This record gives sequence, C-alpha cells and structure tokens, in this order.
Amino acid sequence: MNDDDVLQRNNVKIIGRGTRPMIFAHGFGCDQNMWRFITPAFEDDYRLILFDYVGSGKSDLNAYDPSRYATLQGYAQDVLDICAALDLHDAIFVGHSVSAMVGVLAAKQEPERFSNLIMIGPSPRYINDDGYAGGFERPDIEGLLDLMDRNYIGWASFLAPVIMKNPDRPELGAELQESFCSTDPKIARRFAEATFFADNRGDLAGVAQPSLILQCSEDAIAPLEVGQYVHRELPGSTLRVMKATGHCPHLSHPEETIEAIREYLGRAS
Amino acid sequence: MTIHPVLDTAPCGYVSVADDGTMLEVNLTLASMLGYTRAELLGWHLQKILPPGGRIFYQTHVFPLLKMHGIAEELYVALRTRDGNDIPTLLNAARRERDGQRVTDCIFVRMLQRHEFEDQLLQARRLAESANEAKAKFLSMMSHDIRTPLTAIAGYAGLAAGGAFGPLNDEQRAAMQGIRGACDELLRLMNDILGFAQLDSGRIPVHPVPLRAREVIARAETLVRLRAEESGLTLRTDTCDDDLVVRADPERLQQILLNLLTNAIKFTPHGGAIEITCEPHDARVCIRVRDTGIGIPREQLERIFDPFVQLDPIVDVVHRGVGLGLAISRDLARAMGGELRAESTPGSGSVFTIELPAADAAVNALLEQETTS
Repeated sequence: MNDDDVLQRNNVKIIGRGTRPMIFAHGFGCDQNMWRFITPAFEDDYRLILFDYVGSGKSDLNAYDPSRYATLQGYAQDVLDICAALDLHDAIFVGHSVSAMVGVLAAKQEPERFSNLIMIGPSPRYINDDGYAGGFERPDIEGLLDLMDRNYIGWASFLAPVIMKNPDRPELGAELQESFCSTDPKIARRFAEATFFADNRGDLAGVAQPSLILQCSEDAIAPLEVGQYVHRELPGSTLRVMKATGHCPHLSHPEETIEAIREYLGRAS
Repeated sequence: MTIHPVLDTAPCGYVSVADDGTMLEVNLTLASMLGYTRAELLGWHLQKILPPGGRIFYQTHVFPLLKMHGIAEELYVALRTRDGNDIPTLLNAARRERDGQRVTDCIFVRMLQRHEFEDQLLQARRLAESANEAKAKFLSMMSHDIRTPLTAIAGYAGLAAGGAFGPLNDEQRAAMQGIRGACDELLRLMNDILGFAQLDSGRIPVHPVPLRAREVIARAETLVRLRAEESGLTLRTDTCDDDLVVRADPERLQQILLNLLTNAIKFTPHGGAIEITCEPHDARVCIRVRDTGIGIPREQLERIFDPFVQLDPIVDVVHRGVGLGLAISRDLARAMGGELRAESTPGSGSVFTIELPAADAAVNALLEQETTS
C-alpha cells in the first residue's frame, strides 16, 4: 500500500498554517468530526492531521480486516501508517478516550514520530480487576454491546448522511453533507470489544514522551481514579482535572479543552 | 421551575438536561417510573439513571449525536430504577435554547412488549446471519473439494484424447473429448459458485488502481479472439483514447469483461459481430460490449443479474449456464464503485455497459509520464 492509498484509506485531512504536526485521533463511536469545535484554535500555529480509523467515518470499509482490528494494536498501526505516509516526526498526538491508549502503543513502537501525547479521558482498562477500579464489570460491557445491537437495527437511517448544522457554533456551521460516526454495526461492535476488553496497564511504563492527561470531573467512562492511575504509571505525565463533566470535553467544553492544551504546549515548548 | 400539569402527568417520562448532564426538569411520570421523588432526581447527573453500559452508550453515541445534530430519534435506552431494575425505553431528544441556556429535552416511552418483539427480531437476524455464513462456507468448501478431482479428470481425458497413452480410434477420441468438454463446463460452474459464495460473504477483496481502458480491452480481446473466430463471429474493438483511465481492480475488471464476451460469443449466431467500445461519461468511463445476438426480452432484462436465473429453457439446453456470471459481474462492478447495465432488442442484439469511476487527471498525467519516460 503506497502513501496515497493510506491517506485515502483513513480519509486523512490536513489543515492549518503551521509546520509542527498535531495529529488528532478520534475515540470509539465517532470520527474526525468530533474535533471540529477545537481544531480552529490550532490552525494558525500547527499543521493539523485529522483521520478516521478504518471502519469509522469515511474510511475505506474495504480495507477493514477483522483480525488486524481485533485489538488496539491494529488501530495503532493505522496511526503509524499515516505517520509514515506523511513522514511525521515529533508530532503532538491528541487522542480521545480509547485513542489515548492507541497513542501509547504507537508511541512505544515508533517513539521518534511523537514529541508529546495529549490524552483526553484515557483508561488503560475499563474492567475492574484485583485492586484496580476500572469502573465496569464484564456484564456492563455486554450491556453496552446489547444496546448497540438494538440501536443498530435502525442505525443506517439514524446516522445516514444529513445536513449537519451546528446549533451551538453557527459561525462554523457551514452546512456540510457529512456522515456521522461509523455505520457498520459489525465493525462498531468489534471496535467496542477491542476497546472495552483491552488491558493496556502494562504499556504505560514504557512511554518515553511527556504527556498531558485531561481528566473530566464526573466522567462515567474514565473516572478520576483511573486518570490518577494513568498519571501514576505514566512517566513524565501531567494530570489536569477539568471543570468539564462527562467524557467528551472537546464537544461539551471546547474552550476549556483548548485552553488546557494551549497552556500545556506553551509550557512544554 | 414549575412544570405544566399536563406534562407532569403525561404518559411518558420527560427530563430536561443541561450540557454537563445535570437534570434540570423532571416530570412526575419519570420520577415514579424510576421509584424516586422529583426532588431526588433534580440536580443529579443523567448518568445516575442509566445502567453502566448505557452510560458508555450515552457518552460515545447519544451525546455526540445530540451535540452535532441537535436531535436524536427512536433510540433504545434502558433506564435504571432505584432498586436496580432496568426499564427498556425509547428515547426521543432535541437540543433547544431555553432561558439563555442550551438544554436537551428528552422523552422516554416504556416499551416492554416491543422490547420482547425486538429480542425475537434480533435473535432471528443473528440466526439468519450465521446460516448465511455457514452456507457461504459450505459452498466454498464444496467447490474447492470438487474442483481438485475434476481438474485431474479433465487433464487425463485431454491427454488421452491427444494420444498420450497410445493411439485411439475416432470413437474413443470423441468420447475423451466429450469427457474433457463436460469437465470444463463443470469447472466453470464450480468457479462461478465459488466466486459467488466469496462475493456473498464479502470475502473477495477489491483493490482498485488506475488502469488504461485501452490496455484492459486489448488483453480481453486477445483471450477471446480465437473462440470468436471459431464461432464464425467478427470481433471489433474501438481504439480507445489513451487518456481514458479507470479506477478498477485489474483482475476483477478482466473477469467481468471475459464474462460479457463469453456470453456474447455464446448467444450470437454464426456470421454475427461483437464490438467493444469505450467512452468517457462525466467522471466515469463506460466500456460497452455490443453483440448482434438473439437478445433478451424486456421483461427479463433486470432478472438476468439475479443469481441462479436462467432465461429461455430452450436456449439453455444449447448454451448451458446457471446465470451466476452476470450476478458476480454486477457485484464486482459495484464493489469497485461502478455499475453493470444491460440493454437489448430481442432478435437484434444486446449491449452490456460497465461503468467505472475515472481515475483523476493527476493520475493520468503520471501514467503519461511513465509512458514517455
């Protein structure tokens, strides 16, 4: 697969007027559209790389290989393929939710590609274990899979491309014909299994890059204890507990998210 | 904030939620459905009335959907009651601006019976999916297992007919050639079944690359020219422009073209003609196979692409075929982002059009460079 094929496969979009690369990796359930509230703030100073994992958004579904994407390593390989195709070095990796761990795997495998990791709502393991509180039990995840199954009956029409208005930010609200999130229920289910049954606790200690952990208050998916765990285990990490609640501060509280990232990068440089 | 009495007793749960998930308004129906008082629920995070799996679904699907689209309809969501039971509900939600604040209004309708129907539907769908997978696996295994001995029979019969094992009289040679011919026909059938099973299960990978239409057509023409001449047919190819470049998988496109050409040869009487042409059409390229054959009746034109469809039984005695070739060809064309269409006038001939995406101008230029350098 040549470089152009990778860029097409992962629906890579490059925006911004700066030179330093900043690669944004979306979380489970959505695609690169999730970043649209915060990317404008970084366009002047950085070269922003947005993409969809294979199986999500407008990626090439023909490229989906169930065995490759059975674990997060397959998703990390997507990131590394894109880095290689664009010849990225010292990139700032911004990963939401599961992509925080995807970033950890990618950074361990090819450290020279990344200078810093910014993790929004990371969790190295969602299921509770001896002495570790991930927040969920296995039947809880089965409950999620059941919910997805039921909703995916009508998923195609539910998430069919629509005119996406941006009710909160009309100035960004060019009426784009966009599809939203992944539309193949089988792929989404496998992504959920790869995400919520993963255990990446052992990978944290091997990360050489400094990192920022953005921890929301009252995050039901990645609770504060998990953020603190990541901070303890990840060498050179900074933990910032946000006022933002929930699990998607870049959607719900874009200003606070932008400010936290800017402040960290300002200190890091 | 006071809730209108009608809303309070409406036969569905109602809650208004701030962007941070705090419940700002709750109607009495919802509170009693969950076994709480209204005062208990107000100020809580919505997630407290969702089961753990539901919290993840809310954060990864429902909230982003509401934030980006402003509306969510007919979502299945379970609500957790005070004593830990889950109530299946259908959620409709919309984001609005009220009192200078963005809020999301949610309506929950209990769906105990529908929940059971959906269970049955889901169960049936899973069974159908696994039956389909088993069928595809069986077909593919069977075709493989039959193909191997068949190839041996065809090979030995061919060798024997050619005198490799000693001289044969005319009758024996004709019999050997008959065996060989029947084996070839069976092999073709097996390949079709195998191809169809693979397509049906989505296991045929398609890798489109830029291809010059002229080169693809020339290759297909070479492969069928002899057969066309043996059948007393004229085979003509239009000289395609060099800059007509399609995005297609070379092997799959060849497979479609060969299938169309073989059909054209089969169904065109002695003395007829077959023509292959190509032309641009918007951002696409059309490759056409035109014959002066027996044609296809109008009412059967669409059906010819259905798997296992045979047309006139009399025709099929002479020209055997299970009708899988066209079904496979159309599926392949579609898998490459294209289309396969048929037009026909019974008695005077048929035109099959393969429509494929054109490769962009930049790629054309690159191919041009390769040719000149």
